[in-house]
Amino acid sequence: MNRGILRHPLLGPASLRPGAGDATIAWRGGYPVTRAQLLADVLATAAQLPAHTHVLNVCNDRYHFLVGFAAAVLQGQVSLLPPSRVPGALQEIATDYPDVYLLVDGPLGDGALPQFRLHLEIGREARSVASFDPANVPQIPGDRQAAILFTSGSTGQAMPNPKTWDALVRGAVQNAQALRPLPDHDFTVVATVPSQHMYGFENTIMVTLQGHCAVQCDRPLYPDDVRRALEATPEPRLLLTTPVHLKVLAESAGPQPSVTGILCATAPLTAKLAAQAEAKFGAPVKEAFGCTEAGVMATRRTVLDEPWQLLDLFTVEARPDRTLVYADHLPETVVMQDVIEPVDARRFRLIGRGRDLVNIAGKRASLGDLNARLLSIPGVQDGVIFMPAQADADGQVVRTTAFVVAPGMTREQVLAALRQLIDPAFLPRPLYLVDSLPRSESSKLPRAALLDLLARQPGEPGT
Amino acid sequence: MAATGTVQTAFETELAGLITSALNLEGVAPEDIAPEAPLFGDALGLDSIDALELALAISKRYGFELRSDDADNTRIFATLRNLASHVQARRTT
Repeated sequence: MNRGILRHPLLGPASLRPGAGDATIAWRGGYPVTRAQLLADVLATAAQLPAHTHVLNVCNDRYHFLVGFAAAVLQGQVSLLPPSRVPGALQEIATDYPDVYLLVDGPLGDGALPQFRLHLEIGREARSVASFDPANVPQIPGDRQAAILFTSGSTGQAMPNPKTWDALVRGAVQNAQALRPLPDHDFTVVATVPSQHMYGFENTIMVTLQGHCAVQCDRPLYPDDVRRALEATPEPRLLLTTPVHLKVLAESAGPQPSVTGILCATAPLTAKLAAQAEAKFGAPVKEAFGCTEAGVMATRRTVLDEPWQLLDLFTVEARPDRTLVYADHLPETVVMQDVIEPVDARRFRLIGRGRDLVNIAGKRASLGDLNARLLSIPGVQDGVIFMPAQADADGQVVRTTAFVVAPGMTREQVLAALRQLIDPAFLPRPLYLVDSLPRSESSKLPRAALLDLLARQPGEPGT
Repeated sequence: MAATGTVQTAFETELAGLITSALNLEGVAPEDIAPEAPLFGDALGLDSIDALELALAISKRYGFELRSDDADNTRIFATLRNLASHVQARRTT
């Protein structure tokens, strides 16, 4: 749909209200950051960014990512969000978008690409309210290309998913609907997920920028880190996480602070794990369903084993082997490899996933992609990466397995080469060197033959 | 007195066993983890998912919790030897 020259304010409609400048929009290292401070940081950063059409935002710190992204949008630079930080992924993107620089906040890379380093001190004095003028909040044209998120395609090339400013802003309204734990209450998101993937990008960066919530910029890893990040965040606070993290948190010994709600996504969650997490945190666990192409599109309360409930803007059509997703703010129909069963016009159940897709600890890749990259390694004559089993439903991580024919190479050499090309989550564990693969006459690799070959490896159960 | 050399101490072997079983490192025997080889990155190839699962396993077995902002975190997780020494100092069970 042609949105014409409709513009959206960089900091959302909430920034135009009286007193908006004084509101806390982020927490960093125990210090609140006001909207006035965020705007000042964005404007100052925008003035310093080097002149390129594209920017690879690989900032580790969430506040740096937030400011860097907003500054880039203001300057009309398209933010490229890589699927992984491995050198191969960055280099591949830079090849397709040559007028690019790296936006970093720490050491990264070998200097092959130009870099701009962002460093904003934590705990600087907040700007006074008097210096915040809603008229200074920039208006951004809706049709401006704001970001491109990359996903794993089936042919060995990363697939670009372009997002206009309009799509991101309207998506953020949907996400706020999914996140909001209490009606008409401000809340702060505490997230274990990175800012560069769609789930974290939508639910920690865009929602904050658009004023739907505040964000805790500390990104906790271990249960003790989560405890301290929550304690450092005023209530109401919402935990944004994944099943891998939720499992570790639910099983950890110490108590966790109460939260008002938990949102979990990127991989299937069992009702059992959801119940454990609800007991641990004293809050309802909602699951979000979506993908990079469409963003979050449906939610459900997992413990009730409910069907998925579509968010307002989305409609879906079920097909035998895929699902079509429509939403006004998306550039085109999204085809998902998941198979669903509609319950009614607004609700559905998830039946299964396409076989090309592998999901490990919430990261998604195409097996076709992983295999193409394995075979691209010089010295590898033949090989296959596959999933020996489905991920354990209670969150136990299952990794890929690989058989490789590479005479003259050691296992370590193959892994070292793979490590440059694919996200560490998908590195095979184990990787076996073999003399040949059990290909059929038509050159296919039947799954049964692979499992049989696996069972015959030394160290596998049954040998 | 700090352990030196390439031979695992008894506790290092115990901890190596916890690592291989908690992380399902098939094809890696506990005694194969060289005490002073890097745990993360290239050699054994552990990643951040492993860090999380390992932290949980350590907390359950040894009764204390790891923290990301421990100033020595890079050193603690650098090798089996460093991790073993950190766990022994902090364990409550």
